[in-house]
Amino acid sequence: MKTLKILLAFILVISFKALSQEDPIQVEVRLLEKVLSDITQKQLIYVCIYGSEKIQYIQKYCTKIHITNCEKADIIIADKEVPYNDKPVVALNEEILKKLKNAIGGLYWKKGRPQLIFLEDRLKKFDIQLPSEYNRFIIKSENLSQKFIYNTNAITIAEI
Amino acid sequence: MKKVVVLLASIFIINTTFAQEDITTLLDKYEEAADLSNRTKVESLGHYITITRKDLEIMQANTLSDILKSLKLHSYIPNTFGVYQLIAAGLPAGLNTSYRLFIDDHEVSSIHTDNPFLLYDNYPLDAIDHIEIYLGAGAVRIGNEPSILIIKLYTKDPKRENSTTIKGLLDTRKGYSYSFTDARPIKENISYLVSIYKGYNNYKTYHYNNNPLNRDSQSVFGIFKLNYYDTQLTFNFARVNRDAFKGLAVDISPDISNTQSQDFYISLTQKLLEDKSLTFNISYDYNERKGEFENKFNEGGIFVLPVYNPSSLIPYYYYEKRNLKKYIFYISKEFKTDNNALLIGASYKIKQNDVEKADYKAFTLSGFTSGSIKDFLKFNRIDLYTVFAENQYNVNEKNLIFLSLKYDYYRRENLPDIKEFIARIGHTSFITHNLYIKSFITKTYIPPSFYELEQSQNPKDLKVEKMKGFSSEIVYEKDKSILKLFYGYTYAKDLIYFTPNGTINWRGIPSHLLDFEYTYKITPDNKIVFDIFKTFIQSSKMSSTFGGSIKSFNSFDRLDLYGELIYRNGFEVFDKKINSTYNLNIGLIYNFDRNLSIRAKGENLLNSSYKTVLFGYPNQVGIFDAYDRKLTIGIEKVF
Repeated sequence: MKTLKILLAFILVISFKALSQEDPIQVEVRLLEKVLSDITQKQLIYVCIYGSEKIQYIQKYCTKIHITNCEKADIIIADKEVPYNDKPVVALNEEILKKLKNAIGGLYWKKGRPQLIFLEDRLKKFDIQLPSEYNRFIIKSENLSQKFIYNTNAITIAEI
Repeated sequence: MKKVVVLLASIFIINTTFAQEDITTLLDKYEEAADLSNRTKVESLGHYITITRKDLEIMQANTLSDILKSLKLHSYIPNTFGVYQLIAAGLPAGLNTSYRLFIDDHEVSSIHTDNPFLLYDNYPLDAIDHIEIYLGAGAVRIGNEPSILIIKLYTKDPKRENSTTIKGLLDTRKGYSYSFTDARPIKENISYLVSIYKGYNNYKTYHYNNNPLNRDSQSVFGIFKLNYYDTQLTFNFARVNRDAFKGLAVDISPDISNTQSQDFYISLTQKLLEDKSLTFNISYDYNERKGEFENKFNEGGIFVLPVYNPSSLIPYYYYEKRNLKKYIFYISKEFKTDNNALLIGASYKIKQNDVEKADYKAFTLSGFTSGSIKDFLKFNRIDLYTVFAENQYNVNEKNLIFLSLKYDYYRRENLPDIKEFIARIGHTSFITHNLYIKSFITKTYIPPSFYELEQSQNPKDLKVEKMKGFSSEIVYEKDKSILKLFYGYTYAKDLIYFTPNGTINWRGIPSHLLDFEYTYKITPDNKIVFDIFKTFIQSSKMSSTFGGSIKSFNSFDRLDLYGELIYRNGFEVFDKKINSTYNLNIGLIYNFDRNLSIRAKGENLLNSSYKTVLFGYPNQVGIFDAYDRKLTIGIEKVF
């Protein structure tokens, strides 16, 4: 009980500081978890994290993601070049999304805003069907250089 | 068993909540939670106003002026030199020494006047991510000089930018500006930001006694920031050439009045230890100031205090050039436990004021003469030693207490030393989940600046301004609404006051401040903010004491729309009546493909700008619009 109290007090100190704001790391993990789960359509997703430091908090907060090595993984999250071209990759920066032919999409920051982008032809290559709520984030690879900056009000290139 | 059930139920609820979130909502939440202003806000610094990145973009806030002109409990109006000043409601547009402006953690106030606005009144916001304004005296955390209001501009995080932006603006008064900003990481732990701006403000020319009064300005700003692991190096440059409005003219009709100011600083900050709790900062600031003023002696001449004597000597020309330097050494360490955060620190600051030229020409009863006032200025160096401590303690899960203490020791060349304390007690309490209250009791002071000392007949006797204050804020937040009620009381003693006989200490004045703010967040991209304030002071009212604003932020797919109406009440100066004013500004941004946007902004559309009042001898009062009516159009391209 004492431990529970201390734990509660600790949580409250943290929440006091942030007032009603959510912890950005937890929201980011929730976002990643949803994206990966919608890509793989699996309840338990085997993920390889390549180069990124996100591994620490994915392990801490995720219930659906199981971290594994890249050979066994369903999907790879990477912020640098990955020497595996038979698995889909979610890129954590724009450069990797452009460079890696097996990068199906990206989640990264640009112009001060988080960007979520999926590439139509690469999704097809891996036979990935995303739910319709993702339609606004799917663009053609050749339009990658014209990618839009804002996520929440995003207009797909197709709409323009 | 019961605990296990509760735990499982919680997990189920959390999971259900997650499952209900669609991807757009989650991205919205992520953007909001990750907003950099959440990281930089410091509760103990006072009652804060945050202007987020999104707000700045929708508002088309191109310069600092676009933000400060609607600031509650204040007016932002040009002073005698044409420099926009933040002044507390009711006070005249003089030269306030108690406002501090920071770019990241570096204070950019003038070394000469302790006022930041001479160069930074129209500072471009291209490199700025968000702004925080802290109302309230005596925050010690920054370890810097005492203040009653702190404005903090936070530069963009290169890791979140990854882009190059160019922007150009043109207005119907023939003003223009263009800027280039580039920020990105080079490698995992190395990133940079560079931003360069050039602009020209062409204000309406006023006439007084048939003489033109101008305050046009040309400015260049540049900033370069390099982050290497936990070390940050910043170079900043600013230059403003200005037609200095009334300047030093004794009447309100100068023949020549212009100033040129430059500021350069380099600042190196390093965070050490595993938890980054040890901070070192060293910095060097260099200001250069030039000014040329002329006014016919038979029209009163110009006010060059050490030699100005209407019965025997009237200066009619003055040229000044000075170089000012500031060196800062700062160290602080934070100790954190689960429910306590203690910050201790020390700083050493050297300020130098080297007057290169201070030449005047004057009319005397026996003919014309000339000379220099350099020899009157013999107090050109200040060494400031500071130690401070601040503690934040969670008494329980609903109550947080702040305690701050700062001791300053000023060693001043040819002047008596100053030894002063700043003390502050604060308390935040959550009364319910939706309702919280934050209060502070403060004792602080403001030291005289070089400028105020130079303007004094007896600089040795010019005392520090002493202040005591209490402030409290109640915030109620539920669903889409946020209500804030603020009350403040200050008692200022020995205020440094400008008179025709120079600066003097003035008796104490109490003032009461009241403010109410209501925000309605329709969606994350659409909100309305309404605020209304009233200041009660005993002295004569030299600016509005009652005012408010209503602001509407709207963002649709390709369109950003912003509207604000700023109201200030009328007042009377001597026999001159100044009407209430309604400053209406509307902005529109059309995003073609989100990398290219065009923008249009109408300012002071009702042609009802609030006013600045300038005084001249004998018994002259000039009333001028603080803002012109104009339309600005622009284009922004992102690569």
